[in-house]
Amino acid sequence: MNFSHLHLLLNHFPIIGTIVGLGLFLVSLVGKNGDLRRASLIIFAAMALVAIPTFFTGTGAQGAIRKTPGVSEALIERHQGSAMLALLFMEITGALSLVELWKSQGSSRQSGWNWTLSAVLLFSIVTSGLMMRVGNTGGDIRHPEIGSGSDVAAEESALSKLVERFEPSPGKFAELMTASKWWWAFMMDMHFVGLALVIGTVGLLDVRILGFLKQIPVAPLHRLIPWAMLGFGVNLVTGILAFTGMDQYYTYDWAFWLKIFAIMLLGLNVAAFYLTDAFKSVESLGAGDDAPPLAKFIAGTSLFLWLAVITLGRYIQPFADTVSVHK
Amino acid sequence: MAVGALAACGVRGPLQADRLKVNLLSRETPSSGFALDLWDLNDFSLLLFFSHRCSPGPPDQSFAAADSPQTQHGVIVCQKGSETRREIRGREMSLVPPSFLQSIEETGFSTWLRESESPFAFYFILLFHTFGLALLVGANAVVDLRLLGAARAIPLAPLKQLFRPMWIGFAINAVTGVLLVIAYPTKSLTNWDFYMKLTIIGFAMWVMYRLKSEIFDDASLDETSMMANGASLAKWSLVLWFGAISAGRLLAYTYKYLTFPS
Repeated sequence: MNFSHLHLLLNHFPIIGTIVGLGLFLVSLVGKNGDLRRASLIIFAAMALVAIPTFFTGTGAQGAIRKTPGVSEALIERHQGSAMLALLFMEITGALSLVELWKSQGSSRQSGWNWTLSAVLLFSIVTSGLMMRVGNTGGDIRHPEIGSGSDVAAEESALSKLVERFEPSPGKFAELMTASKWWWAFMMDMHFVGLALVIGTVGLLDVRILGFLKQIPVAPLHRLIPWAMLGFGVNLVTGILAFTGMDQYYTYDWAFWLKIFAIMLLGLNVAAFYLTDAFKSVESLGAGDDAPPLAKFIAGTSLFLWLAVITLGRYIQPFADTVSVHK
Repeated sequence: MAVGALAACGVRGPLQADRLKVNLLSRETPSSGFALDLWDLNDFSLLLFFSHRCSPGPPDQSFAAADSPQTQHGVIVCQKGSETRREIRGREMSLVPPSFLQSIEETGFSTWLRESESPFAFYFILLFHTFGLALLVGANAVVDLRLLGAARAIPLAPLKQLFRPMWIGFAINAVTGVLLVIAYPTKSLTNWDFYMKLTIIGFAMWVMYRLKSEIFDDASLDETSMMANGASLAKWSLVLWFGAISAGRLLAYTYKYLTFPS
């Protein structure tokens, strides 16, 4: 297993997943199927999460093949730029999907049209298009047999050329992130503020489900989740920006990868909470009520994983350069 | 006072200036009282200790020749209007952090915390400082947000229980904070931002105490009046904790010395 392998394992998910999600979303809109709509929104959110490690493994994959004969640095740069733009739209689509899921919770029936659905529709269409371009530009790096000639970049369609104008130049973007130490300090500051918000809200819910602070009923605590999502969103944005600023630093750091892995497990944890009986079983718990074992297990796992995320984040610095690869 | 400080420096003679800035004392009188006008906020924290070392450097020939022989041991900054002149009299000296910082740094414990490769040294303390932050600020922020109208369905009264974890978080951070200062005493104690952080935390804890005693401990208040009475405290709490986190983060970017200058 190396970064190229990992990148190739992951990279099909956000591309195909988003397109499949868009298909289901369109069907659900036409067929007025509320369950299918929720399923497609969950897929968008999941793809937004998976897109993050996919993006992060790109730097290591680049490091693994850049010295290979026939691999063009320019094509890699183009791929990276297209991935950055697609990631931006993917995360917005995922965030909008979560907003819509939150708003429509508890009602599996088709509720009315609203701005979030329009926004999800718009952003998922754009994201799907951008994702296809990411796939194409990535394929061009290693699969010249797909293109018709050696100079793939010159044969792009007018649409591709238009999109390319909006794609950041990876090198310049990284410079922008690291040019001022005050901007970096601000990002790190916000990362800690987001951390406090997430732990305050999610941690409190977890602790209550585990059986502490029992005088507080569970259902109203759940109303704090949007604040948790705000904190997580702040940390996701500042985290991705920090990575793009110093991708070489984070890529060869074990603590960083374990942290990302723990965040992915937290995604599964959230899915386990909402898609099993666990959520239903705690939703109606009043003051003094005890949660069933499954819910307690999920809450305990969540608390453990969040503490692991903080721990691994703190250890990124001393674990710099612990991933040894033949660079 | 400025004149007294000059005398302590062994400086004689008239000085043409509106304001005087003297930033060190002579070796002979290391801790006399003196008045200082500061041009660098970073120096401010140093002055809290009133103990400065002078490190002799090469004599400033041009100045020594022009001035009286008594003139020695002093760096004087004269300001007249917008013009600033820095004069070095006698031996060149620089403001250096108080030596007790070096003494702390040289202890085995401080050295171990700072230099050990063990994952249970510096970064472990830092980790628990972060856990304490999450506990203290996280719990306090939830109480603040609720008082300001978020998640109104949560009954306010049982949130009183959250003040205990907040105090636990504070205790963790007080202990780990002291350990972090022991690890890098010069870095923290010579940084104005460190004093700002402590001040902000002081205010934030005061607000937290008032939230508990004036809002949550008053059994006569119903939810509506708790929210009405607590709203401004809650706002201040959020602002102050944001400031405390920011000042804490800035410690990594604003320090003047990482360790005692050799």
